[in-house]
Amino acid sequence: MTDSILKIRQVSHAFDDHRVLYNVNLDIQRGQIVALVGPSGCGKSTLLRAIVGTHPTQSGESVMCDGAGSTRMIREPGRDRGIVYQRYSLFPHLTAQENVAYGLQVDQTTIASRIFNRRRWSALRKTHMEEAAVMLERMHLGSALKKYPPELSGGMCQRVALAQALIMRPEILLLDEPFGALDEATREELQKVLLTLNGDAKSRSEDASYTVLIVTHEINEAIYVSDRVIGLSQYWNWKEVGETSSPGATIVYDQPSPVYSLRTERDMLKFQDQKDTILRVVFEPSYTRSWKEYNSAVREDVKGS
Amino acid sequence: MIGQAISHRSRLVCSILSVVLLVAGYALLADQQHRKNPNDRTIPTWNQLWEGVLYLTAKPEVSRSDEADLLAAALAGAEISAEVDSTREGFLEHRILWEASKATLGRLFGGLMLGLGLGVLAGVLMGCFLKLDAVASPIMYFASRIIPTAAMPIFFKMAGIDLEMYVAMITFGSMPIVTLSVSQYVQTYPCELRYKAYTLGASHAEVITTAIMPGILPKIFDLAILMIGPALVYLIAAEQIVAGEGFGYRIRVLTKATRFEAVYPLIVILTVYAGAITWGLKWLQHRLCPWYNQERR
Repeated sequence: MTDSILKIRQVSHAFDDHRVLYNVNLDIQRGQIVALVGPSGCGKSTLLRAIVGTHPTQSGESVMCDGAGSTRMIREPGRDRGIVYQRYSLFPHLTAQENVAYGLQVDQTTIASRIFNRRRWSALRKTHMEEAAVMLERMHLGSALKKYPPELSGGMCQRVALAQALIMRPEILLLDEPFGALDEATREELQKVLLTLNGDAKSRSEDASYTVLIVTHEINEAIYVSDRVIGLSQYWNWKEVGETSSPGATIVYDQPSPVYSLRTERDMLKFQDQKDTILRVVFEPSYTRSWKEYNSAVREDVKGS
Repeated sequence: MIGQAISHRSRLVCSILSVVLLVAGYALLADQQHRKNPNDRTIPTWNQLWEGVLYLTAKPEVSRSDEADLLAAALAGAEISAEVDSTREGFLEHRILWEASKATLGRLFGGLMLGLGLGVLAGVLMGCFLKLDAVASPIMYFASRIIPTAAMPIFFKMAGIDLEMYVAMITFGSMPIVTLSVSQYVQTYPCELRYKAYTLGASHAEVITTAIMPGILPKIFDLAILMIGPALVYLIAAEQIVAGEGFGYRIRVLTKATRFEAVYPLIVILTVYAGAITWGLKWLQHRLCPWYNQERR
């Protein structure tokens, strides 16, 4: 039995006449760090929004699964999915510590309990703030607890945003180009933070590790941070499925990537082959082969075509 | 170079210089006017202005009913001859400035509070629920184009000439603009933050009260500051027409009686009040939204 946490089945979507996604099928296993790469305009964000639940797709279904085997259709944003965006990653009116504690507060209390049960609320708030401080310390942000987002650098903001999402222990953490607007050094630093956090969690127990879907346009990042790379592309041989015009992007690449830890020397040459393949298969407009060629996850029950 | 920064000291010197130039220019103008006509009261000298201030802050010896008769006479073109004891000490009550301030500021606060309160409530609801926005925004847009001073007779008819009328007029004048602005603020609040709040476990009400409202609060303060000017315009215009007390009423009556030595201080004091309210709102904004000032810096 596979321990899937997210199942996407035959998802297609179009904006008016413009078809964006075609028959996307994807299973993400518990504890995996999956990177989703693709050319601009291929529908990465559309797919991510469908998973977050803010913009359901026109056809197909996205389902969250829990360990007990029950499933929930994704129709709206929910507590089981954490999200970190590239922009507007933090509430500007809250300090770093308050931002991290925000989720705990709204998740564990109600407006009524905060108004009418002040004593309990104040005790809980203190606990939440302490938990937030511990989380930020782990992110090496102990000195920035009381700072507001405008006082933090881009890298610090994204670290706080990661802490804000991770403290809620979501079943899956969705990262929408989280390091896209950062300089190279800060980007690498944050990639290491992500690997460290996951390594720490895995060392405690296999169940404690995070499941992450990271959307990125940076192939090096995708290979380095994830243990599985998925390529979504509009450049594929859609004639083989009987289409007369481009039906949109589908998954054309799905392969494991080398699992790195912080102790592993980062050697980009080691995965140069994989990078070249991804560049060719996913990003090269003239490379229009079958979508199954580099799709290791192809299974009869999910082909749908 | 365009936009080149200047030091605090230079800014202070320039600011003081502008005030000194203004005062000197006025003094020169008043002096020239009084050389031509020693009895002139349209551009009063500093001494005349001081007398005007004493008149405004003294307790009149005439009763309210006598005063009304005298002012009515003044409006009819007669010279006001009632004596006032400008040296008399006493409580604030019945002093012209106190009474006018009480009346005008009470109306202003009442109208602004109601206009802002209702406008923010309606704006947040319209911003959050776009069907409501689709229904209400054409009405609000139309209402925001109505000039309250032009619609004054309707307010007289509907709310009389008491406090309710002024409050209703300011509310009606400010609420549609506040509503449309707040609705825009809510709709342009980053959707990423709304989605994030949901994924962190917030309910719809919590997204509004703990994410959107605090996020747009500083802009509401900016809006309140902007609304002070139009609200005062509506109020003073209405007071000049129907009020029996207030700055508008006093300015009208004193202008008719050619007592500009008291009119100018009234205008300055009204400006100071508006400035003080603006400063108070900015102080509150700074205290309640410390992050906003850092964001703008």
